[in-house]
Amino acid sequence: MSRNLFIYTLYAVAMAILQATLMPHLALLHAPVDLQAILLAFLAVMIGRNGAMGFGFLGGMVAGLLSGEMGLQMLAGTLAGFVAGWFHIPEGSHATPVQKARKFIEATAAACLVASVVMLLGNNPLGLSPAWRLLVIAPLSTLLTLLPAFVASRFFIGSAFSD
Amino acid sequence: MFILPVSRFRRPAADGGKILNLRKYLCRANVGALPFREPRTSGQSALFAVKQFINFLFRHNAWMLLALLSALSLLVMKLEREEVPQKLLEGGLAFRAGLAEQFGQIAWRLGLSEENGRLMRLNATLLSQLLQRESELRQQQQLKALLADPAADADGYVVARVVERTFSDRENILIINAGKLAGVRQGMSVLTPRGLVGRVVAVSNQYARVMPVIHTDFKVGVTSSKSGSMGVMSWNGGNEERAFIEHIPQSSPLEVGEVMATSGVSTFAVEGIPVGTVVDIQPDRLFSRVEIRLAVEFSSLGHVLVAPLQRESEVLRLLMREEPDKEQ
Repeated sequence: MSRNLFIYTLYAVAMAILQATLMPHLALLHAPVDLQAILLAFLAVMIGRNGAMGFGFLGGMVAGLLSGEMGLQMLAGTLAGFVAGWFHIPEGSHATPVQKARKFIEATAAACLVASVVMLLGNNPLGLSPAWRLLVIAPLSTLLTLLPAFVASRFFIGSAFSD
Repeated sequence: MFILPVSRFRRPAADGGKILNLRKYLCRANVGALPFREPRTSGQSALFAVKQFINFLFRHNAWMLLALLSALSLLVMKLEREEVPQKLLEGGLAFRAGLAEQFGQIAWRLGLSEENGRLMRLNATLLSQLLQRESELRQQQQLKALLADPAADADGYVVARVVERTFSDRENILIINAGKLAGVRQGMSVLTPRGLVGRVVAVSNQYARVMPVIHTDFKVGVTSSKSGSMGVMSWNGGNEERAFIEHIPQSSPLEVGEVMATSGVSTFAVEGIPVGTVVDIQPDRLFSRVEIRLAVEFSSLGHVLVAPLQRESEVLRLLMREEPDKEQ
């Protein structure tokens, strides 16, 4: 368990660094892919809401340290982990890997949407209108995030769901 | 079992140590049965309240954790304008800027092929402009050299520019931008300060066609400046820098390195125009086969001089067997 926690912590820090440094360069219409939301969704499905919130908090702290919006990033990560926790599959569940993958995708969408909304409401460096940010950038960011989440569910973390 | 030791809360649970399992632990420790009893003493009331609070926490642990973390986040949002967090954030920003610079360099390298293509096009444009400027400068220098040539001051010399050239390995033609209106006539010799270029073979009002030395039909009488050996220069095609001199007797004292110039027996050329330098002498049947390096570089020909036909009436009429009395 502690080994898993250590690995998850490493993943959370790595994703936060990538999110704060690489992803802004790959943004489409100012909407970046949310790698942290993908990780939080996986953690929420696998270990539950509290773990997802904790790692969301940690990842937000690291990403915020790099981006200069630490408090806002921490809050966004915490809320994203909390919302993704609704899609937790308890241990001993008879859910199939396909159902787990579906839950993972749903959790990703929810986490990304919540994190995007929180970040857009709290930080608007480009001076875009709130309606534009909420109606275009947040959904677009969520859609963009679902693509790598789907790929990850098929090729990378499918084995975790089948255990 | 009214007081639960703190150490037992901290003890790792046997079933994985999860937070939720602590509730089962409390139930096994018979603490869960307490709220259903009526508190009798003040101590029991206090324990009842604590237990109720613990139960509340475990029932709503996610919400409590959310509240705790959100409160921490809001606190950080409030405090991050302070000095110490600000320095921390500045360090983080510096780290991020360093990473972003590395990513930017990677992206720049990925786009390097496009940048290379743009630079290549720019290089081509600049190179063409540079060549054009150099060509203009060279033409100006040639023009200055022509104007500085004493021959250019002589009466009847016309300065012209080569406007067209057709080079091949046998028949070459030059077009100059001076014609009848400038005083150019058929048969005039064309030269540069370096040496003989050719002769005018056709003239229009504005232009003249020149048969250069490097034409297989071109022949001119030449003589050596040192030994006085005379012959006829011709070009057999091929190398534009080399020509041959025929009718040089084997007994001639001609040596390699001597300069050959037009002779006075030429029907068109002014005497003394350099033609080339002897580079090789080979004995043939009756005459020596002399090879010369031409004085003029036809590859860089720009401006030329057209010399007048000063000997026209004297030589041509003799060749045409006309009576001297009828010349006048």
